[in-house]
Amino acid sequence: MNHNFIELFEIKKIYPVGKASFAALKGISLSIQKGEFVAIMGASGSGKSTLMNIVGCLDSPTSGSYLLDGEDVAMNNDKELALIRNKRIGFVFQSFNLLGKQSALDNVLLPLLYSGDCSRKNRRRIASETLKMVGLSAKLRNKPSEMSGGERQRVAIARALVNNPEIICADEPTGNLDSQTSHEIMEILLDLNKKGRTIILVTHEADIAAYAERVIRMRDGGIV
Amino acid sequence: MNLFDCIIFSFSSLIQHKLRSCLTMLGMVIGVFAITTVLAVSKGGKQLIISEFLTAGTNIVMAFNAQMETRTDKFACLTEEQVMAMKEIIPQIDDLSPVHLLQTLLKVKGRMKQITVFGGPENFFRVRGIKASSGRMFTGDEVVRYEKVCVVGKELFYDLFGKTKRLGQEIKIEGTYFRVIGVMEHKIEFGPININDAIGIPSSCAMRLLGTRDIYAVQFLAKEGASIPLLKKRIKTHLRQIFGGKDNFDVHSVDEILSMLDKVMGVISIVLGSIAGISILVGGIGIMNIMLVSVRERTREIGIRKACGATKDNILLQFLIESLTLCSLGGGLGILASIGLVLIISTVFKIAFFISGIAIIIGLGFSCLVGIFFGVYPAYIAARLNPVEALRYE
Repeated sequence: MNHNFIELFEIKKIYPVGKASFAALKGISLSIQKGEFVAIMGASGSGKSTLMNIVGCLDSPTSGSYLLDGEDVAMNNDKELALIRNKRIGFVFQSFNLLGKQSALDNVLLPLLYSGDCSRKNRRRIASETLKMVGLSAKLRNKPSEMSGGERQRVAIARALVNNPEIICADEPTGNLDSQTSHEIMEILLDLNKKGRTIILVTHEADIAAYAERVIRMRDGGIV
Repeated sequence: MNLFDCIIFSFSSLIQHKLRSCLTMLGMVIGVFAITTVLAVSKGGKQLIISEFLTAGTNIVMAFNAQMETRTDKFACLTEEQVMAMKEIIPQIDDLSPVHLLQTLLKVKGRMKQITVFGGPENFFRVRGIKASSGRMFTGDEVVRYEKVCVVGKELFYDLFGKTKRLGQEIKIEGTYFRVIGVMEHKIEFGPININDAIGIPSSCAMRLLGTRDIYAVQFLAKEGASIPLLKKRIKTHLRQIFGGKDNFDVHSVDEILSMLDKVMGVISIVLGSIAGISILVGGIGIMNIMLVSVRERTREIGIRKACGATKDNILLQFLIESLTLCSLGGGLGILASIGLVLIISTVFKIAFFISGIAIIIGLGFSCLVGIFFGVYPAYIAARLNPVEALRYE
């Protein structure tokens, strides 16, 4: 494989604002190798989250091309994007984004349900093993409201991992955590990176970005 | 994600919002309850009325002068010879009997009341299918001998003498005393005489009281297996010939009342059913309302699901199944409630009401249709949400 794992070329994202329009991304070109740990830094409004959403296939660019493992996914339809999100990308968010009324196990089961390629029993086994991996084997039945912030983020990481994706997109994963917990979470991400996963981290904290091999700085919709 | 997972999912999310789910279902429960109960009760009621009418005899045809009042010869009438001849002319007639009618005033429960008195030959009772509930009907011999005997309808007998009084009392009709020899069993009202509230005397006596041998009414018993509409037609044509082309007599049978009744009951059940249907519709709108609110409230959840790989179809299916579950569960509960009520009514009133399979299918089918119809729009709204915006939603 000679190509870059993630290859963005002239990616633009333009939002209509009334009759005018606002360019959140002004033609970004970027390549990320497989197994890389990349941090995207920038002030709020710099477009770092928009960029990550596009890389994570949550959003489609207005123009430009996005090659994921050699395949152009920029103009994929909803079904194809959903499949990529399900199988190849795991998300970790600042506000955890767990289903509040469901147990940790049920939350982690979610991506397995949508991929739907293993039996009920197997799904449960995989989900609980993944939770064990992030150190939550004792809290399978707990609901997010019964957990600390760090534990919630671990559930979110377990959910991101459960389908064994190649890429983890983490959007300010430590934004709602104290510094000790933040470092614990970052250690987990670092460990995942060492096991071969490509990690794209959005943050505005320098000490968090320091975990990454490469830091991409953004300002006003462009890479600095 | 397979359908079964979807159903499990929808159930768990409905269980998580117990109160809301129950309240939403209530509209459906009431709607389906109303529609199945209406169908059951109207069907049971119809059967009840029809079986009542069947006791009047479906093979009886009655021809009478509709303008007929007593003691008048201003109106068209038949002679005894004309009536008897019809038996020979029209092959479908098994038997017939002329009916002489007069009204008399009697003191019933302390008040003067107009009572219908009919005079007939001894075969009157066979033709009309009337049996004695006590005593006996008069005989041909008594008719010939101008015997002053009478039979009384059950209701009138109780009104006149109370339940304990015996036969053998005398009733004064137009100045002549008649001895009660029998009570006629209950019969549904048909034609110009309500048997339950009438007095029957030998035709000879009736003609003497009326002062005429003219006949204003005839009742016919059809031959076994004969077509009633055909018989009616033959009688009508024959009478028209006699009256010089005029339809002076009305010709009626019980089955025409039955078919009219059938139509009326049909209309009533359609009207009641529509009202019940409207309540299902209202329930459906309630479900749509709740589902729309639920989509708003769960925008973030939808975003999370999409981030985890849910497609539009997954989300659409989830919300559709939720509304379908609400509707069909509500419909099922409504049917159960309806079965309960109908059972209670049946035992209390000793009437065989029942809920037909068709009523259940209509009730459930209708509620499922409503569920899908009113569920599609909220589900579409949910499915169409942009994942990024949905995740940002607070």
